Amino acid sequence: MRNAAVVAAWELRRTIGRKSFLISTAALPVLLVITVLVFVVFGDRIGGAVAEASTSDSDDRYGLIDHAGVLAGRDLPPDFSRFADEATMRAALSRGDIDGYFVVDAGYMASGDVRFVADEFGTFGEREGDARGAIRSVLLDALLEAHVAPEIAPRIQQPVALRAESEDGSPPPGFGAGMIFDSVVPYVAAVLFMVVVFTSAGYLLEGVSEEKETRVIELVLSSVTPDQLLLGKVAGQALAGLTQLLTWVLPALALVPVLLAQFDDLGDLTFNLAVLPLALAYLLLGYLLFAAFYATVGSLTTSFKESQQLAAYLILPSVVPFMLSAFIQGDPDGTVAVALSWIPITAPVAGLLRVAAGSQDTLSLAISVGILAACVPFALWISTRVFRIGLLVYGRRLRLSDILRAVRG
Amino acid sequence: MPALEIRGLRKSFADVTAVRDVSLTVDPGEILGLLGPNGAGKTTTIRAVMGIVTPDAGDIRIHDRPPTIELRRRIGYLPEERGLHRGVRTLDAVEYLGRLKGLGRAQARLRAEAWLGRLDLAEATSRKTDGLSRGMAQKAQIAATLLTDPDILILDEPTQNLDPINVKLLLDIIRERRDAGAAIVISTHVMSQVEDLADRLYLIADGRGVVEGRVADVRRAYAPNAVRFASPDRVADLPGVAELRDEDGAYYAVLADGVAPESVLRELVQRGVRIDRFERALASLDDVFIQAVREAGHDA
Repeated sequence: MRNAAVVAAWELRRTIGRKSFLISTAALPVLLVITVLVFVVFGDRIGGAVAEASTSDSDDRYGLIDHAGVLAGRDLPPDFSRFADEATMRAALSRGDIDGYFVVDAGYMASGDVRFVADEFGTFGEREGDARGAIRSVLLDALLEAHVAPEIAPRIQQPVALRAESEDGSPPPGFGAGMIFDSVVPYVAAVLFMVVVFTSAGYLLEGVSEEKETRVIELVLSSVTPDQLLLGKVAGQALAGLTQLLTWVLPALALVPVLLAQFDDLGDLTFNLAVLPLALAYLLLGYLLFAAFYATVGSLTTSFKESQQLAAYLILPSVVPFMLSAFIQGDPDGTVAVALSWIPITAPVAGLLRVAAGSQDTLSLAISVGILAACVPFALWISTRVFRIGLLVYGRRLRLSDILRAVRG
Repeated sequence: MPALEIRGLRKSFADVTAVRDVSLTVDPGEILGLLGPNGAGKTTTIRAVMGIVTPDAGDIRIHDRPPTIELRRRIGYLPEERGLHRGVRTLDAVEYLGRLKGLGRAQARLRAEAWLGRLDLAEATSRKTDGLSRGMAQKAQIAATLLTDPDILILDEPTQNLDPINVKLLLDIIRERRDAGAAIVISTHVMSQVEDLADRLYLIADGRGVVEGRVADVRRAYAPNAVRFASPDRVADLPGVAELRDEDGAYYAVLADGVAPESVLRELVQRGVRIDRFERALASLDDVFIQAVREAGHDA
């Protein structure tokens, strides 16, 4: 065990000392800190701008001629101006005094016809949309005041104030803290899984290939057994991955509440601990599976470049669940989702995506984890077998017969 | 008691038999020259000792015990296929290899600094291994091999890539280790080094040990029927001498079959020839190597 520990410490130290590792590890917390700082420092201005954008559609000024007399004698909002005739109003539009004008048709009460004229309507017709909202509000107020009892008018303006609740009286899940921790966290974990697993397993692959390429492997193998070497490498890179993950998660746990506090409607933060063990199980088992695959690939090939090409064939199937995430999100307990979570190479990502999508099929998730857990020792066993002979074969790839002989022992 | 003992070693890879029958011993304070043409089985024999390949048959004993990883860690091993980890400081790379040999961190660092200094690499300790020349990298690997002051040293082509100054430095270190009681195996194609360094030699051809013995005895056993003598006088037409030629200022006389060196010496004395030196010609190790390999039918 001491030998494996020495190898693990060496691998950890080398990996966390790499520039690429430092940059990729630091990038996420730095981005998070910047985001929080932007919201904390400029939050009021951002919030004000958002509020302004949501309550006032535009600052357009409108002219109005009311042939129906619906608005006669009423005070109009400050962005509306009355005109005596359309020719005067058109001249005001040409001069730029107003941005558009409305002509309420004489038969409005029967037809609802209102004509809107403007010199331009915007790339996506946004001026017409703004104008529709502005004149609707003015006309609705006038009609309600003239024809409806005052106590009923607010109900016509806002007929429903819906309040949903569960059978036990608790509020239903919505887009709040609960949803973030139940669904977003596993989804983010799935993405992080890809990053951490492939980063760590990638470094493992690089380490194995490098030791073989530089021939230092024979010196190393004179002091440690291949099994101890592989164990140390897998553990060392796992620790490096864990370091990376903690570097991301710990600042996130501290900073995300600060960020969420900038939004009023997310409610109190609660953490669904039931999701965590499942995510960690997929993360750990997935890493071990790919570490075994990558160590095998590294010992099979003659150079790091060649091993990367071969490893790409392993990455492709593992990302299939991301490509099919729409199916998994839509039906997390459907055939596609369950099948992908039962195939070892796609299981880690598919399983996490199913949890993210709110899978209720605990049994099939348990089977998925069980299949993965059963495959990992087998993959590691094959890996150590191939590792033993592959490491000392220089200048040529191992043939299938070599691999079969290694597996048979 | 031998420090290292191999008996009846055999190892095959698929349809290729790399080692058929190798048996040798190395005593403490002795240097064994392990010789053989390319593909003879030297590296496989060494790898079997180091536990890197598992023998099909035969017995290996280290200090009269079956080899374990702990015993093997007492062996300083410089493989023919060697290198250093890339992108790390030379001192760290050597220290790590010392740690794998069982040294503690502080001890490994101290010894790495000391050996790198001894091998004239003190200024390169903080340099990345990628920036070392081939010779420097090799010396760093030699430092890693010697880090634990091993009582058994196995060196496969140790002077490859080294300039004459560093070859001398290394050979001096090897002699020092021998004098300190280490059992040393040197596998090399540089015969002059074996003649100069080794106490005994073991020659493998076609997977079998074909010559074994003390270096002088082997050279004598393979010697031609010839004498070498030095004289300031002119000598010619010696009876019983098939060929007489000048070699580096001395005479080299190939004797006819059945003629003893003593009769040539007697003839020279009777003629009143002044003799500075007279000796029976020994075979060079190059001659021994070529003849033994040819006799073994090895296809080099």
